[in-house]
Amino acid sequence: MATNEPVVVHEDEPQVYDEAETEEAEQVMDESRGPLEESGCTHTDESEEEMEDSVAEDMHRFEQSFKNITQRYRLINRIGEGTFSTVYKAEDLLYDQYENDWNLEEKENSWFSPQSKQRTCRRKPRFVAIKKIYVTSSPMRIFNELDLLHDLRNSPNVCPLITAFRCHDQVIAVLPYFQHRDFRDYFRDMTVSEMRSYFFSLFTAVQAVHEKKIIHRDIKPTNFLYSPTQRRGVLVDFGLAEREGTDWHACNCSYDEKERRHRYQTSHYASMKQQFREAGQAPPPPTYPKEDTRHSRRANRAGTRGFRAPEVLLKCTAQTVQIDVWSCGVILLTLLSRRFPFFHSADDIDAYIELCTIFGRRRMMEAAILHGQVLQTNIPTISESGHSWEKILLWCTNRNKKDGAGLTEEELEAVEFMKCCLELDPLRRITAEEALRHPFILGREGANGESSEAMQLE
Amino acid sequence: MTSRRIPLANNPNAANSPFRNVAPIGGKRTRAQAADARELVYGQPPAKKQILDAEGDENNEARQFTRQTLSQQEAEGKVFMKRSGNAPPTAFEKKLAAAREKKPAPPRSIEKTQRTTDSLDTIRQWQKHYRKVFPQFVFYFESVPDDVRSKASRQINYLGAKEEKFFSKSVTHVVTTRAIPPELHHTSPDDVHSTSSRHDQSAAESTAPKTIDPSLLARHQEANIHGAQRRTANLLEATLQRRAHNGAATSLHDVDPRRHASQTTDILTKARELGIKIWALEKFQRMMSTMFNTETGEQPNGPLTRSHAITSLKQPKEAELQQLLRNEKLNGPADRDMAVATQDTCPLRGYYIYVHDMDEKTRPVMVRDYTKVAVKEEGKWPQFRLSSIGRCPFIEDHSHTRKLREEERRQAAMERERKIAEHAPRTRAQAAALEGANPEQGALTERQANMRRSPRKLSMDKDAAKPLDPPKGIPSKRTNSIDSMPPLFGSAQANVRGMPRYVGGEPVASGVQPSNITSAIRSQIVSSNAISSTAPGARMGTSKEIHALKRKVLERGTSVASNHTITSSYLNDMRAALNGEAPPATRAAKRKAQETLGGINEEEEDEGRRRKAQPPRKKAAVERELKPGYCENCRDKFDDFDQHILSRKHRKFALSPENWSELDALLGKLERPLKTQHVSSEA
Repeated sequence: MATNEPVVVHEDEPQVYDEAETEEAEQVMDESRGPLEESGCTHTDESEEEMEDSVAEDMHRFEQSFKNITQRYRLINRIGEGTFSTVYKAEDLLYDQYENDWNLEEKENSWFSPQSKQRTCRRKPRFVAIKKIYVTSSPMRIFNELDLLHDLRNSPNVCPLITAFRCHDQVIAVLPYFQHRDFRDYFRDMTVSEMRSYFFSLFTAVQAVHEKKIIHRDIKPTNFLYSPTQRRGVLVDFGLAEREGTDWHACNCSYDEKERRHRYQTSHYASMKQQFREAGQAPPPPTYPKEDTRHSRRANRAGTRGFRAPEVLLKCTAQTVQIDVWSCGVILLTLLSRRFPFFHSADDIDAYIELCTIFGRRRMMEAAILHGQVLQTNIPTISESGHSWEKILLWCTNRNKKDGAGLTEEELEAVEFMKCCLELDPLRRITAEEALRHPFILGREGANGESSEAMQLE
Repeated sequence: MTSRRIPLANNPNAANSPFRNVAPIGGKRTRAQAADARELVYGQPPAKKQILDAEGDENNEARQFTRQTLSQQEAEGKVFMKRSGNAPPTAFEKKLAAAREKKPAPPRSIEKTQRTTDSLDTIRQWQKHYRKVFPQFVFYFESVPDDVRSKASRQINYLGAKEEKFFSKSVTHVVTTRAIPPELHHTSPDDVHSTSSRHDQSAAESTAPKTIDPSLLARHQEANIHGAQRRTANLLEATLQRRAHNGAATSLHDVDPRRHASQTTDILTKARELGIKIWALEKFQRMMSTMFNTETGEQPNGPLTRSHAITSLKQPKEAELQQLLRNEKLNGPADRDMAVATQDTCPLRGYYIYVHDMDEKTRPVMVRDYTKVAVKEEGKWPQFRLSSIGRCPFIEDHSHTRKLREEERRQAAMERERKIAEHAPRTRAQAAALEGANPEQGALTERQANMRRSPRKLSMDKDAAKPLDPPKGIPSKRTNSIDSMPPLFGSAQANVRGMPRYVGGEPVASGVQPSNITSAIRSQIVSSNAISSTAPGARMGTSKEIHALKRKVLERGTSVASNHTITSSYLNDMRAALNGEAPPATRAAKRKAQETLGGINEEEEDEGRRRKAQPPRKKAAVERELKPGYCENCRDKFDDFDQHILSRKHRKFALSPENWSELDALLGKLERPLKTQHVSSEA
């Protein structure tokens, strides 16, 4: 046990209506909380004692309103909250009555000393995380989350669902209380070797999720509870997750390359451009209609700003599980650059500009056209071909190649891997499965020979 | 191309359009009517309300415009026959050579019998030409009622022309309601030259040669077998050549008109003498209507004759008619002068990002226009900023830049010392040490323009990045700066883009904080900046609720700032200044609205943290705040979560089993398995 810090198992992410859609009747809650603002949920020991009155009051009311909950669990403190839920740390009073397959730690310990465990465990309080889903959430939304969790119950590194209850409109989900460290405690100091383990663990979870054709949609450090000492993490919060193909509509990217080219060439934009060329005029600066009666392009944009893949920003209507791989790439970028959050986008436009700053106008234009969109910009800090990752990382870490402080071999390997994850074209982006076979992941400690489980026990 | 039509939204009949009522002919065809006409192939093609800029009988000619096809064709034919009067109507082809030197004389009789539906392009070329030369025109309105004149004046201004209040030689066109005196120049072809060139001379030299792309004409000649088509195209070419010729000849004749100057006092006569064009008001109005009127502009390709429909379908783009029409509706005709924005579109004037559908089927996905700035670092859009390790590279890090500034000052001070020391004897070692310190300055001034820095600074940055170093205002691992912020802005966005460099036109030095501004206030300011930078474009649907929230936020902000000179109105001003426009619903406020949905109160959390930080405020009010939000089940917005969930509607939903059947079935599957041994022991 490396960290004594009690940690959140599962915090819910508040979500925000898409501002573009608010006027429409069907409101989409798709924004997860930003990386900085939310992670404060990891409380320290003293905060556990220092419970706020309001929290105590809420807990009390919760206990009162939820039938029989006090017989099963003893609420300890609030450890997180979001738009759709509040998460409490609780003691599992009836732990020993149940099969607890979900408790990996237990299983591992029992491997070694089943006898001693029996005795010690009786006394040791068993903690769980209770996710109280707000009664204003629709049964469909709740169903979706629990259903996906149920599908993923045997997936490695995916936070298992112990059980769930309903009392009237109140639904609670019981989840393991997982030991982890706050990302902000270690992202500055993580070595490349540790990153390999981190991403092995993360991609193991992502691969399992993707195998079930489920898109997590909200992968970010705060949703991957990682314990550096155990070299293991669990992926949590499937509140925004969806099955691939939900609400699918053909996007330009769903056609093959030839068709895409044809579509572009016959597009309105291309023909306008052609006209100007023929007329020998330079295309004028763009104008946009003041009162646009067209309907807006609609796509699920659920996720966290700064972690959204370009196709999400472009409202691609045929998003795939590959959007999660992008988010993983952003985490790696954060670690390599020692900047968290790396992207800081107030909204999708900012996010796109940030990507443009890095990738350059040309590639972002290509990325846009892939989804039937045209990018026009004259922002001076957006160059034609962007910056190389190496340059960016050196700059971010205040290093200078001239001083002989370029990226190390290891880092370059990590950058290679990151590039595969941060491929603008989702069709060419590395898949989670491929990622697990990438040299960067295979090069982790204990990858050859020793089982990773044995490693974790050290 | 057929997509030449001004969007319907641009309809000059719109109540407040400055172009309204300028189309005395040509009736106001609604789009629906146009569509009808399109469907009814047997329908008569409507008139092309093209304007002639001919001399002499130009007004008469124009009056011939009717909805009748034949006269329409005639008119079209005449479009390019500006100086038609003198030349005999011979076959155009034969006259081509002559036309290069003299005025072309198109064969009107033949024209009459031809249907020239495909001459649209040439007409458009003509229109385009006029839009180009218009800025050279100087109008004088004679005997024109004031109301008409003011409207006309606006129109010509819009097209770039000027109105002269007093008649003078600088006037190129006189618009009158009176009878137009006969032309004087019929006896002297040279005069014709000079008069026509008068207004053209500058334009012709610069614009005429490139007004028409010859390749366009060539294309048309190839593409269309139609005789008339070719004829008009040739006509056009000839006209242009002549125009160019005139331009060249101008200098020779420039002085001519002055010889005849002023025997009469009548302005029109005088104008004639001076070779100034005289247009009847009606002609002028038709001209304007062609320039602005959607109806007129779209007429040619709106109601398609069969032949036209076929040609458009044969376009190389293979674009569907339907789509082209839609594109037109959205974007207006491609041949309009794009430099002049139509009424219903907003041009992107500053530094913009515009991501839109390549087929314009949907609203643009992203539109944002940032004010242009002299130095790009001052731009409010996301860009790499100098910040310490650990922090987002897109956010300005003031404590960091301040440190750099201080370092800079220190260096400067050292430099001064060194200079002083130069006079005094010094050791080699001293000098070396001082020299060694210097190069850093260069690196400092480079800022992030290039991404490299000296090793010394590197170490400094490391210092800055050290966590748990509150005095420096560096975000630590746990206690990041957000903790000290007013709750609403407890978003990552709070630090956005840093302090403005200019507020209300006044430059604000960056990195230097007024001493009476605490970090809390600063973050408040920054937060307001965050709002502005994230929500510049007017957004729809700003609800009262959000306004209320915003107000609340600012109130909170002032309570923090109340000890200081900064008031909320200052903050408001600042935000307004930053916005440069009315601040719409802000992201932050919206977020807040959402966060509170379901009764999340991060505020409480923040409150808690602040309490820890500020012992005097230990007793935070326990008073429960209202938690507004949205209930997915009742599809209702509510002001207070706790109140809502007790409402009858909500309770009814909660207690209706049918709402929960599906979920219950799943919950059945999620039951926790009992331990087998436990069960047995119980038994």
